Amino acid sequence: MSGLELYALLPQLILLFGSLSVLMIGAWNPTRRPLLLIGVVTAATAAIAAAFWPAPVAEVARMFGCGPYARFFTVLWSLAAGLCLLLSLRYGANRKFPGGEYTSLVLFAAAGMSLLSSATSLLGIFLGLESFTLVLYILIAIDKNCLLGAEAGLKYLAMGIIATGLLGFGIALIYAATGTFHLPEAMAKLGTEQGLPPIGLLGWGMLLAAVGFKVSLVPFHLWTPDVYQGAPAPVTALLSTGAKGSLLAALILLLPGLSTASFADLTPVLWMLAVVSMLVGSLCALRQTNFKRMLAYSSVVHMGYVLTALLTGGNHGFGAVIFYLVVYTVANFGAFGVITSFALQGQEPQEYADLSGLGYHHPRRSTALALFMLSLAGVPPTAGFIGKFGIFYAAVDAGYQGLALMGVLASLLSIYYYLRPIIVLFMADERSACLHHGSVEENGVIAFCLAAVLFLGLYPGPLLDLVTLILPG
Amino acid sequence: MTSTATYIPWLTLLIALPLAGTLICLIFRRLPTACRWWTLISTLVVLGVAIGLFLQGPTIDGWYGFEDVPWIDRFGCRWTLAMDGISLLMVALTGFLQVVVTIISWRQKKHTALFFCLLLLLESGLLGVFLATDLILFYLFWEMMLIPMFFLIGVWGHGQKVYAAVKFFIFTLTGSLLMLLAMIALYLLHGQQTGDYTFALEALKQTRLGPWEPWLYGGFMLAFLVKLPVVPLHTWLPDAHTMAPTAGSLDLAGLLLKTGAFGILRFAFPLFPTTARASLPLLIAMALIGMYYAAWIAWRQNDIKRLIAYSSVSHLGVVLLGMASGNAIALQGAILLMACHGITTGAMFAVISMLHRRTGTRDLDRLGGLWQTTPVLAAFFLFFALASLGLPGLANFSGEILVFAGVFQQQPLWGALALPGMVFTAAYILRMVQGTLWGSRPSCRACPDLSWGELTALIPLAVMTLWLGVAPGMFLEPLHGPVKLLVDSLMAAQGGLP
Repeated sequence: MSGLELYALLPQLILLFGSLSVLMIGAWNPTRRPLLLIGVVTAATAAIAAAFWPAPVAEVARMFGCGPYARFFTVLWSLAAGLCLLLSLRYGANRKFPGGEYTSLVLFAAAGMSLLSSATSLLGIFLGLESFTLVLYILIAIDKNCLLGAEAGLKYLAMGIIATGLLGFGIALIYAATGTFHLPEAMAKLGTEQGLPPIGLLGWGMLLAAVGFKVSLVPFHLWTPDVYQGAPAPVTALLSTGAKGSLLAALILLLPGLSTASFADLTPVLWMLAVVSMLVGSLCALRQTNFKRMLAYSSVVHMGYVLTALLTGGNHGFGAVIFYLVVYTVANFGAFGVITSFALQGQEPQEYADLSGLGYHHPRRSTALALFMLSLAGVPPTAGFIGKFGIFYAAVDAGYQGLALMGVLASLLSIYYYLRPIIVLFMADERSACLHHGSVEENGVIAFCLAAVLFLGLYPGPLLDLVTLILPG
Repeated sequence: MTSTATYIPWLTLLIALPLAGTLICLIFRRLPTACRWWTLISTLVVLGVAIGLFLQGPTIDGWYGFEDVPWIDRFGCRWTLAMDGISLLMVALTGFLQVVVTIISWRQKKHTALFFCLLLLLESGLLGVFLATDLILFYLFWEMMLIPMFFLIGVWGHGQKVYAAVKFFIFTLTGSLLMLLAMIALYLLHGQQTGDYTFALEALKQTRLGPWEPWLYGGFMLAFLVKLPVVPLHTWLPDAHTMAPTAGSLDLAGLLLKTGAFGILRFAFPLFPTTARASLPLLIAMALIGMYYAAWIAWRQNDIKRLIAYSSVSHLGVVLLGMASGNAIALQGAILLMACHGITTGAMFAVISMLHRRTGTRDLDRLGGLWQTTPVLAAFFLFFALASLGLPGLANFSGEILVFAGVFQQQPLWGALALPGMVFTAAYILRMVQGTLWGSRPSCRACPDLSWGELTALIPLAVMTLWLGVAPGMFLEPLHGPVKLLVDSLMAAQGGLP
């Protein structure tokens, strides 16, 4: 690995070195707040480095890309890690998180996500995915006094190991069929004019099952609600956005390599996964009375939408996926941010009953939460609408009218479960709420997400153009 | 269509002003009085601008204003606002009714600032709907109206308010999501044919749709017919109207229902003339069914607010009849009736809320004798009820007579079938008047008559009712051009239902 290649990996290296140094500093000086703040600064630096210092080479070690596409996601996940750390400042103090370890792990997760999104080889995918999943096992269960957290961590671990096994096996099969790990090549060699050979099909099947576990597609979604519920809210935010988004970003690099016939072989599977995810996710979300569990099922539905766009492929489809991922990340971070900022002594108000009547005690954050819900539901003028519009547009354009209709149906169902928290916040009888008034950092994160949701909803032009620019190929 | 050389973007300002008011109300939410005054001033300015545009008159090609700025390049969406005679009338109606609503809600105590903030947001959305000619921009405003109304019903409503609010939201959204799909399909078809991917209404009118046309038309119409509403899709309306606070009922009946009719005229008919032409008999049938069915249900109501809600459905049946007759006079009448109905029904809701405040009930069985206890209120009640009934010389009559005149010209049979509906209207209105104003049971012994504040709200409504009834010519004038264009394009289209 040459010096240039190292320089090309600068943002990831910043994250990794930041992570290690925080861990070291934490060992001698375990004051939580400065450590977390160092983490925030590191994440911000990595984001700036990724955004403004273009890499001198296109690819590192035939494993990771350093083009605009990779850099875009590096910025996104670094910012996500930064937001997560900012949200953890007060929350972590209340729950007595070990500052050094926590910060270090979050930064490491961001590095892993960024590597995964920029992987150009099957090995890169494996490496990236495992490095942040491993970290998330710990992060989910980092509060040793929280039983639900431990349960969630264990559940994620069990499911994660199966997924890892499937992924490894899938990659091995594809390697066996093609003799290369390098992405466009492996995918191109895999298919023939007639479509995928059995071994390739098997490999892809395993790969898709692993992806299904990680991004929680039905029928691989069963871990999602429990993990969402048990994990600390800032970690859930990172888990629900970065962990899923980075893998989807990697899929965008995988899929175009396939020949048309091979892709046609996968289409029915993807189609089915998308439909079932939208349908089952929506129906399950309707019944939830726990805010985080509702968001868990809603994320299943969102992954169904994203899969729809992924299936349509092409510039429109992939562009829609990336735009949607950004919008979804922002709205989800906002929603979990509000829940974090309501938390008092580490107790999150998760049940709808805990939120009733809060709209008038905490009007600003409640309004923000309502807008995040509307964005997730895809109601204009929030960003969610433009995202959903892009997806439906891509689907109709590519001739998947059935999926688009399904998406519309799911959106319709989703209105009900997204309206429920809003109803509870504003239309329930008031009660004397003694929740936290929110620290400066938390309010800052919420304000940032809110501004992004509204700005991207009303003036999405710049981001849409950027997305078109960074798309590979 | 050329852009006029006005350097002040009045139409954008029209939308931006209430929006700015929304923010100001949010910022100064601890000063309710300031919010009230600010709302009143913004609504008055909107009304003023609308009147100004009316006085200034249209350009040669019939537009009162036109603005066009790039918005989302990637999808070809543009910030296009255009005002023709129909939208002018609707904008003026919006401005006027919002002023009245502000005055009526002046003493709103519960979360005052938020209330006025939502009223202004609603106004902004409504104005956007009436002005936008870019499909996605229209959709944006169309959904933007939903949120404030949802909160107005859900937070300040009565009874099963949350149920009513959610029902309203879901019904409307179902229609609009299908409309969104139809919009996307239309956009793609146009793009594939011409290579120009755009959401501009004028461009999309030229699209050749082939077998897709009925489906797309259906998608658009579903959204508009839910909002209008026609009979099988109307069930959200009685709940929403009844549970909503006065301001909400007024805005719902006066303005939100009109957006449905307006959407049909601005988008559904011009975009799909062939199918629209073929669907006219179906629409007329729906209109007739709606008229009679809603009138019948209204006749059975004991809650007078609910009664008026059903009367709205019945009146909007007449509006739909006028729109579907394919006759210029009837169409003008229908648009005029939209304005008249907005004012008279709005006024009815206002009077009923004043009545409710005094007697504590809206039940016909427990009301009565109002003429003796509160003569001024009773007089206003009678006045607006008679206007709603279609008494000559008052607002609704002028619209209805034009509709029927036009329908008789075009299709005497339809007209003959529709006319007895007026008797039904008379029946339920008179039953309501009789049960409320007369009778031997004075429902309150010593309730005060109208206060000055209430009079300030009702007098403008009464004046407009009289004006629209006696001299509707002034309001009809801007309609001539657009209506002629619409009817010509509709009747020039050939074809039938597939």
